[in-house]
Amino acid sequence: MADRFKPKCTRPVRAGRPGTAGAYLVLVIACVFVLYPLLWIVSCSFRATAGIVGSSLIPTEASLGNYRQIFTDRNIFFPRWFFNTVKVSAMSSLAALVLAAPAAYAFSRMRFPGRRASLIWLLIIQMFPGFMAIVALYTLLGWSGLLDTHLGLILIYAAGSIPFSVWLLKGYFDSLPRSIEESALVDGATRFGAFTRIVLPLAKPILYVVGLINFIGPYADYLLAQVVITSSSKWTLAMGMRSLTISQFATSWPLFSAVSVLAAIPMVLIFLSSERYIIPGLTRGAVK
Amino acid sequence: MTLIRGNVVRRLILSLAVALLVLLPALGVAASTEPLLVWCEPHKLNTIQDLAAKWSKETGIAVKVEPVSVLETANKVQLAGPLGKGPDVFPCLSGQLGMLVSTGMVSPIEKSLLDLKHFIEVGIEAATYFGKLYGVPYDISSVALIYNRELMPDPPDTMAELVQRSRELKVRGLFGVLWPLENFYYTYGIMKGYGGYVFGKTDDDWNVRDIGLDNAGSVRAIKLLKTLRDEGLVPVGTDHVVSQTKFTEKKACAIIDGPWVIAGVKQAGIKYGVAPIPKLDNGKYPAPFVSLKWWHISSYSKRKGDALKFIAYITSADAMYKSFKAAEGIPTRTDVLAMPDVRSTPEVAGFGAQASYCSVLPDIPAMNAVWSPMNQAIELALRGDKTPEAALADAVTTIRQAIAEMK
Amino acid sequence: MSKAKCQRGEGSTRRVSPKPVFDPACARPFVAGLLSVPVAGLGQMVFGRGTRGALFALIEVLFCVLYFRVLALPLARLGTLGTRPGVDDSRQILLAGILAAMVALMYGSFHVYNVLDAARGARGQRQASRRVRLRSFGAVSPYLYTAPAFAGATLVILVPLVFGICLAFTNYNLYHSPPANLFSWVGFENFKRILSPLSPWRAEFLRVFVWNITWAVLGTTLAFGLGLGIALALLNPGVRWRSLFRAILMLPWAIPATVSIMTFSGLFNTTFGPVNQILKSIGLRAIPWFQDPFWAKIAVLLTYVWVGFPFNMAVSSAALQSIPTELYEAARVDGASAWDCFARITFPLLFRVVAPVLVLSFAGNFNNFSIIYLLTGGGPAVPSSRGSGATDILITWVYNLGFQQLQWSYASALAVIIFLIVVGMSMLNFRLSGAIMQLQGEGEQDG
Repeated sequence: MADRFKPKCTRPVRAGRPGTAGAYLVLVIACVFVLYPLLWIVSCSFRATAGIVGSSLIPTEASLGNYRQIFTDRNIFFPRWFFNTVKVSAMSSLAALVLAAPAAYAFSRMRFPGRRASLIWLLIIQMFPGFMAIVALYTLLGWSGLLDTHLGLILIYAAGSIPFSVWLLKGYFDSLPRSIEESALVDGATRFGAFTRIVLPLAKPILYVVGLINFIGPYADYLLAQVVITSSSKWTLAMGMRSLTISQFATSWPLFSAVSVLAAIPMVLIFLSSERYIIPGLTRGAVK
Repeated sequence: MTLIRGNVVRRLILSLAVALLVLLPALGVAASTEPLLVWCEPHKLNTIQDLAAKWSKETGIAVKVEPVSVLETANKVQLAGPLGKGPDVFPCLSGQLGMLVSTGMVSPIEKSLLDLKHFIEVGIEAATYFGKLYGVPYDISSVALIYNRELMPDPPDTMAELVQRSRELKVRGLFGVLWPLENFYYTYGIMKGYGGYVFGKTDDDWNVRDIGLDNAGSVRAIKLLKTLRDEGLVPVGTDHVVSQTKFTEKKACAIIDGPWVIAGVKQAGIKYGVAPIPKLDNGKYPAPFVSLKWWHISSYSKRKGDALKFIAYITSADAMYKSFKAAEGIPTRTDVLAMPDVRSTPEVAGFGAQASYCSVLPDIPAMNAVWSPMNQAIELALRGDKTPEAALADAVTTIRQAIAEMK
Repeated sequence: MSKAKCQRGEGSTRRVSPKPVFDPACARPFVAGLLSVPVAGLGQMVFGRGTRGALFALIEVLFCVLYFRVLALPLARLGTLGTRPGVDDSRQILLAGILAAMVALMYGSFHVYNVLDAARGARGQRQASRRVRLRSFGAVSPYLYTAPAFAGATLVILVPLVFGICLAFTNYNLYHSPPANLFSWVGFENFKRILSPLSPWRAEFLRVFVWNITWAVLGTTLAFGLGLGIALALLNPGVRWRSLFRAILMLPWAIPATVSIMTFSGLFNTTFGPVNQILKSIGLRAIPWFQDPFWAKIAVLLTYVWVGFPFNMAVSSAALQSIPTELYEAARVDGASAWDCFARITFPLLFRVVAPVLVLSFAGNFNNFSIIYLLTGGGPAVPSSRGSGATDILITWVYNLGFQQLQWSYASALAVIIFLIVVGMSMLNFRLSGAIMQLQGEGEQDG
């Protein structure tokens, strides 16, 4: 009898209850939605000739030709492009966190003149359609000698994501109770110590998400990379892929698909290895 | 002992200083002969690098070759040039040259230093502005009829025949010919064949007030397209990806496309042939746009003399022949085109034949205002939302307004 | 300096007699401020804060040196944007001028602060207590924490923004472009052209704008809704194989967006695409995805949701973790149902973390160039329009109008107008979300 009144939002819950069925339904439908185009991309990568508008999902003549070409073609340097991309993305992600986290903490925990104005300013400057931004950024990089360097690219990616990252981090920091930090400060800890030893560990979920966003952004970016980088030894995957097109009317989709599939693998590995940060509730115990 | 060691150290320092003094001017000299920076299209990288290596050996001038997509060279030179990071030599293509010349990004080429008589005339003409030559052509292309020799051993002579064959093939589930109808670049040839034109010429110069895109000829062309669309011979949603795909899958006997698909067609193992787009029912051949690519000397370059010498080297008959053999496109020298093993390839034979019926693309800023309205007009006419006459008339009005705003 | 401030100073007694017109005690701040105007720090030095004054004076000296050696020329050239065609590059002159102006402005605000600081310092008695000094150091630390972020955002986002806005007031186009030519200031002429009754911009603006808002609202909401729904479903303790589901559902994020968009363009191909093949095989009619304005919009939204929901899922998952489980337990004790849990606990607390993300996503989506451009090119064509397509949003339309025709200053002016619109709407959104949170008693959040 009491079971009828037990709310569904607590745990533990026996499997098989209607709420669980609903959850499974949502997940399965979402998976179908996600997998259908992906399967096409994968199948396209196993074809010899151009793609999606071909006949069937399962290619009639599957071949590893594209994958072989990626590693044997004279003009395709997949390992190098891949390494460059991972390097730029990882460093951008790290730099973005280093820049944004302290600022978000200050906005969240401290009160100072200009706080509100700065937050709004950060929000607003991101909204300008940056058609001519490339010209300005390029010239700035040129004046600081950072053209055709990965460092220049990393700095722009990291700094460009500051407003978004700060806002996201600040929102999460706001939701963390201040009691622990306050007691630590009373016990003689420095502000910075409270920040690094208490707040940051508690904020792991959002740090992970912000890090991920700032990793994925540069990963596939083409516009900025192709302006900043000219030496072919520094090319990223996106630039390498674009070089495979001979003209605006000839794109080798099977090759593109194959490169995309390969490029997606490390991302998938990152997703899989991050269970601790996305499964809710397991880390919450720290508060107690 | 300390004395001896002190002596040794002092001597070491002295000798290092002397060495440095000797080397310093050498370093200075080395710094001033930075390599000539050449940008080239990615698919030509290997050939150009080989040629550059040979040229360096002969002349002693170092060359650095970087692959850059030809669609982006203009933008990148505009950014890199002022900062001194730009190339000395770079390629560009039709449609961009007008902008390059207007903004002064390319420097004129001394005609006397080049052997121009062997180059295709249209290539030289299209790069000449106010009497000065601004680029040396190395690649020419236009769309033509690319057909499957097995499915269509004898390509039709007239468009009417092609349409009829398409009807017959449709019954069997195949396509006679496919191409992106709504794409003005591909379709212009037919409009020109019927008497339409973009800009008229007055005194050898483009007259942007004289636009022939809504005249009777253009309307007739659109009506032909409408027939193809309404009968399902070229179905809705056919874009260049679809037509290329269907061709390589042997579902389409022919497509109207350019030399850029040949590599993919060969890879798919299709036995292909190239022929001019079939004659229209007024007896004229369609005259599609001809697209050229040129080598340019950047006006930011500090070594224009060396740059010109390099360009002369890579556009010599031998060099162009090598490029052709590496399947990089159709060369622009008449002597290379006349060589037997070049002349006999289906590409050169076919696209060459089409070249007799081609239109020069007006490479002026006003041309930029034409593409989008025309694409939309064709799309609306084919969808039946507007009559061809109305669609084209509206497009021309829009074009005129846009041109008026450019000043 | 009002007399009231003097009365609040330490050591002054309550006045009973009528206040004199001129109170010598009030002159001190005024004099101190005045002294600090020509020479920074002079007021401080005279009135007892020597080290601080010396420091400020040093800063002023450094700035003067900087000005005369580095800043004067760019600032001067800002007026003409170059005088020698073929030699001067107007873009570089503009950019250098902007940077110099920013440095000068920074110093300007410092100088004003110095004057006010001198006046303030001269008012009360000296308080040399350690506690005050520590407090003032503590007052510095938020600036230390935010300085790197601020500097980064200024250089990489603000400077190009100011550059872009300035270009809107020039005549930078094909005919006024370096290296052969210069461009110069033309004031509001570009804006006048845009707002004139004849311009195509005005004729089509309303239609494109309405779709733009619809697109941003629907896209952001749908992607977030799906992401949140999935995050909640994953939260359900009865679900097994959680990691597998999550790995699959994050995949769209792993594929480069350009490849995904081109894939969808192929999937939705009217005659040849698999989606229509499936529809036909189950007896429905093929949908003219890219030929019909309505269906093209659906296609674009579906593509965006596919590409965008994993990000929303990740953010929602992270935000859901910030909700303490005790709240749910307490709710259970009180007999709340699942819906109550969601509406009263989950959603409000989630909203606090996620609201800024939604606002930023909305703004970003409003200007989401690549997905529209790559999927439909702004099409399909609309019969009554003068150039814009059915799925054109403001920014793709501006790209066609401005960039294809090489009228960069015109495009910049349009960009400024779009910017003002987006900022206006975002401020509205912000007020709304702040208001919602106030209504739900979240109190403190003041942005």
